[in-house]
Amino acid sequence: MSLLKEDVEVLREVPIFASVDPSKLKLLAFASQRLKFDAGQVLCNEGEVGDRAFVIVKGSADVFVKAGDTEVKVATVGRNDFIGDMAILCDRPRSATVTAATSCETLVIGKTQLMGLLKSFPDMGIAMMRVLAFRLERTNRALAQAELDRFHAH
Amino acid sequence: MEASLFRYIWNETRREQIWILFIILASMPFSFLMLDLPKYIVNGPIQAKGFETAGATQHYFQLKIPVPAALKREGFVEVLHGFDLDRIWSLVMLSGAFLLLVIINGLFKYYINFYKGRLGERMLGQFRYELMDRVLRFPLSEFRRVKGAEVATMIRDEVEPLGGFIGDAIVQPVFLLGQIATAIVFILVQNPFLGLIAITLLVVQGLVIPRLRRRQLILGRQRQLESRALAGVVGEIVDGITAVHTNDASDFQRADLASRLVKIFGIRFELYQRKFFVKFLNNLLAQITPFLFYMVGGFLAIMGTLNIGQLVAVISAYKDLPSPVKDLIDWDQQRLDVEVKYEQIIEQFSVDPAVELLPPPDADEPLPHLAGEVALSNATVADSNGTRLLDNATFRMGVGDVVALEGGTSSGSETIVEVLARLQVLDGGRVTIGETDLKDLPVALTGRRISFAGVDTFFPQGTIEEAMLFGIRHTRRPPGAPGRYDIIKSRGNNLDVAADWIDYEAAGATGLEDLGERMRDALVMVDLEHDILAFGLNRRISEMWDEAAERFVEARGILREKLDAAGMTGLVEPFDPEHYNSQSTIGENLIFGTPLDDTFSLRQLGSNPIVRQVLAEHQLDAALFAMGKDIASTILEVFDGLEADSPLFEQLSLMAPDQFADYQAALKRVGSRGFAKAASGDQAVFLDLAFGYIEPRDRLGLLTGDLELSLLDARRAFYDALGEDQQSIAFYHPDLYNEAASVKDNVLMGRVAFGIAEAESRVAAAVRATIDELGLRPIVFHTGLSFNIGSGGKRLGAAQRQKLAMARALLRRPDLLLVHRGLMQLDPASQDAIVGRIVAASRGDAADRPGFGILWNLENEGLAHHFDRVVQMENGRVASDSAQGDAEGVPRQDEREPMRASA
Repeated sequence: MSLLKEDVEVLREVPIFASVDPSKLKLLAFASQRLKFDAGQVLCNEGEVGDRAFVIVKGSADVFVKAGDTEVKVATVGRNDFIGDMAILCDRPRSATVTAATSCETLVIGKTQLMGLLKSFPDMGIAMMRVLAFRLERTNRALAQAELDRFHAH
Repeated sequence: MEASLFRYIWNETRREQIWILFIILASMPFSFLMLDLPKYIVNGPIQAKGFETAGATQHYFQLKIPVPAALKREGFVEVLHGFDLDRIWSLVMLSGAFLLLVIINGLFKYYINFYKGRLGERMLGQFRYELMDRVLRFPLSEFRRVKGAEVATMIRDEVEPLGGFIGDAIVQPVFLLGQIATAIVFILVQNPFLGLIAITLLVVQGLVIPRLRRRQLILGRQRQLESRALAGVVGEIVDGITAVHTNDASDFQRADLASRLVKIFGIRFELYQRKFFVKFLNNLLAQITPFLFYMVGGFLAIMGTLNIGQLVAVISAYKDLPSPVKDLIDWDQQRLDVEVKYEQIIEQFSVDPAVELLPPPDADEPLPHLAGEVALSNATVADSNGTRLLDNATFRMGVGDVVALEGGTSSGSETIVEVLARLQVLDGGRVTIGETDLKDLPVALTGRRISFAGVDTFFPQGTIEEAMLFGIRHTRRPPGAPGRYDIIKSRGNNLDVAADWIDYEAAGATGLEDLGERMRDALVMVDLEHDILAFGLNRRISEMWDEAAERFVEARGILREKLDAAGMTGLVEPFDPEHYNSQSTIGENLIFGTPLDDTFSLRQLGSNPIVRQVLAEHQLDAALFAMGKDIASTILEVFDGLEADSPLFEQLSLMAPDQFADYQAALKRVGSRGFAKAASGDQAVFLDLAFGYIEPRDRLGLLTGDLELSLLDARRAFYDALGEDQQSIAFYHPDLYNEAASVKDNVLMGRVAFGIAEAESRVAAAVRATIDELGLRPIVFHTGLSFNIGSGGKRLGAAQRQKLAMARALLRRPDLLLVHRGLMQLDPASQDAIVGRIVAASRGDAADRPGFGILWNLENEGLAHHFDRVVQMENGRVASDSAQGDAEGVPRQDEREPMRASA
């Protein structure tokens, strides 16, 4: 299997791309870059303006958030996790620092490439929007449930 | 400059004009003789006058000088006795004399034309030089109304006809009038009556035709203006085509164009009518005269008052009349035209009488250093809208002080710096440096003792080194040999561009050797050293010497050790003759070197006969062809339907979007046919595509281990098959320097791996460390200095340009460094580091280099802590000054504030 086919497989398993047409994922894989990180290398720094997002293909990475003067590890991410998506979709500075925990293989998706793809194929945008909307609805429901729980607790 | 063209010409070329006038006078007797001679030919040998009897001879070439009868009885002294000739020999001799006169007159004409042409060209050069010299001396305030493109066209094109005319200005009318006078006098001598006829017709020609032509001239000028306007409109439409479309303005543009074309047609039509009428009139007058001559002259000849020889001579003399008259009229028109042009140009290049031109710098005097105090007293500067940029401001600092200015765009902080840099002129008040008014200091002094770095940068087209030297090109040692540039006679005739202009002393150097050191110091100070090393690493060293080449080869081993030690082994895949290099293209793996000419250019390897032969021998051609087809069809399928400018193409290196159609067509042509059945051109297309393939980059999974092994065999076979052609490729060799490759490629002798994070920058750091370890940094740095930055430094980034401008300002150790946000394009951390270094240097350094003063309009307030004194500007005045506390400025400022608001 060529690396590129593997890349497409990886992209298909990323939730946000789950319902995107495979031919478009192939295009995205083509337009993206494979990048290997050694353990300890930094994928992105909190506060920086980001122009790319990462899909982890192999290995794992730690996510750190600044709290005062120290950095607190908030999560560990692994295969098929999509990192930095918010930075390239919403033009926000990176919300966390991500460091490779083991030797990591990633697929790097450039902001201009993703945006170009969305512009050329609006269907893909709709597919991604549905996923995001579902996610939002789930969050809303969880939030409402939490409120309800709090209300009942009193 | 001289307001009248003729006075200018006379002042500048008097000597030459007089000389050429003298030549013209000298030529006149010969042209008279040439008119006279036909008379003797016709009357003598042809009509047999003086040869009435057979065997009669005439005596020729007797030269007698008359002397008083008292001295000699005959009344003359015979110098030459001469000789007798019969009728035929007389004809031969007289005709021969005529031929000789033709040649002599021709030579005179040749010399005169040649001399005039040279004079004109020389004056053209000088005039252009003077105009540009003037532009260089304009005070900066004048440049607000000068447009670069206009000045350039004026100096290049509009001056051109002036040059042609200058040579003709005085000589031509004299020459032509001389010709006319000679002919008229000749005719008058032959017969006064015929002479009068000729004169009358000449007067008609000379009065009527110029009058008709004057209108023609006006029309010509109108035509020029209208055409210029048309060109302007056409340019505007093309530039603004988007606006035309978005506003649906095209019909109005069409109408506008049509109306202009109609207008031009009208002018041109009238012009033609007049031109041909004048031509008709000219021809008529030219032909009427001979008619009168035949008629009246014939009558006189019949009556016996005019002999045939005279008649023939008069008619042939008249034949020479109309053309000088016409030329004279042309000259007169050219004069009118050129005088207008000259006035226009002079007007453009003259300044307001109140504005003084800058005096030319006087480089020969040793320049004193600036000392004492820089003081602005009650200084006021207003911009063109009347806004006061400086409002009665008072500011003092010692020349050697280190002072920061703070304030927004219209606070006046910028203006103070610009006033001191002489970029702004005061509208009121005074600026002094030491005891002298800034106005009275020669530009040579302020331009060398004060350095300025602003937001905008300027670099002439050239290398980094030349950009740096721009600030210290002040001396001219040795002065150009006098006379070398005597064509350009005005000031600067001994300015020789080839002289050594570099003022080593200004940079604290003694010669080229330590100037390089100083240049490095300055570039290190502004953090540009790494950039220049990077430029150097990416360049080829064209003249490599053995010792350095050996060191660069040695560097390969050291780099390898460094990479291995740092766990970066996989970051560079070295070129190994025994292994396939997976990080470079298939084509590069095959030829395994850098092609030195187009024969083996990697782009067209597929059509090279040697390559094809080697591929065929190793059964690689069909495999690579199939691979190329695979690549093409995959890419075409994946990228189908995408616009050519989509950013998705950025990562695609195998083909460009505009080639898609060609590949599509080629795929269609080949269809399912194999390699053997495809056309040779199509074979090459797909072979070339395969040759560009790199597995780790393109990730299509097309390269198998077997294919790599075959390619390795083919590499060896290709080398052997080359024979003579081995000369046209610089092969990769682990132990030899490759002169065709860049310094970096030579140290790497391999390729940086794809797909590893930060591989490029980590390898670059290792390469730099290696270079340093071997002491090769100066060579690489020097190579980097010869990087061409393009016109205006376009090939550099904005931050790099500002750094370079700052380095240039620092290279010449100034007495005072003026900065107006000169590092604005840099990030705050770099700004802080660079300001810190510059301020430290300003206090003088260990190398016994003197310190200097600084007045810096800060990029951001965070930089203020570097400075001894911080001055806050507000509304064109000093609002607070850390040196004086709040004692002076601030309270008064507060008192004034309400008044300002009510005013």
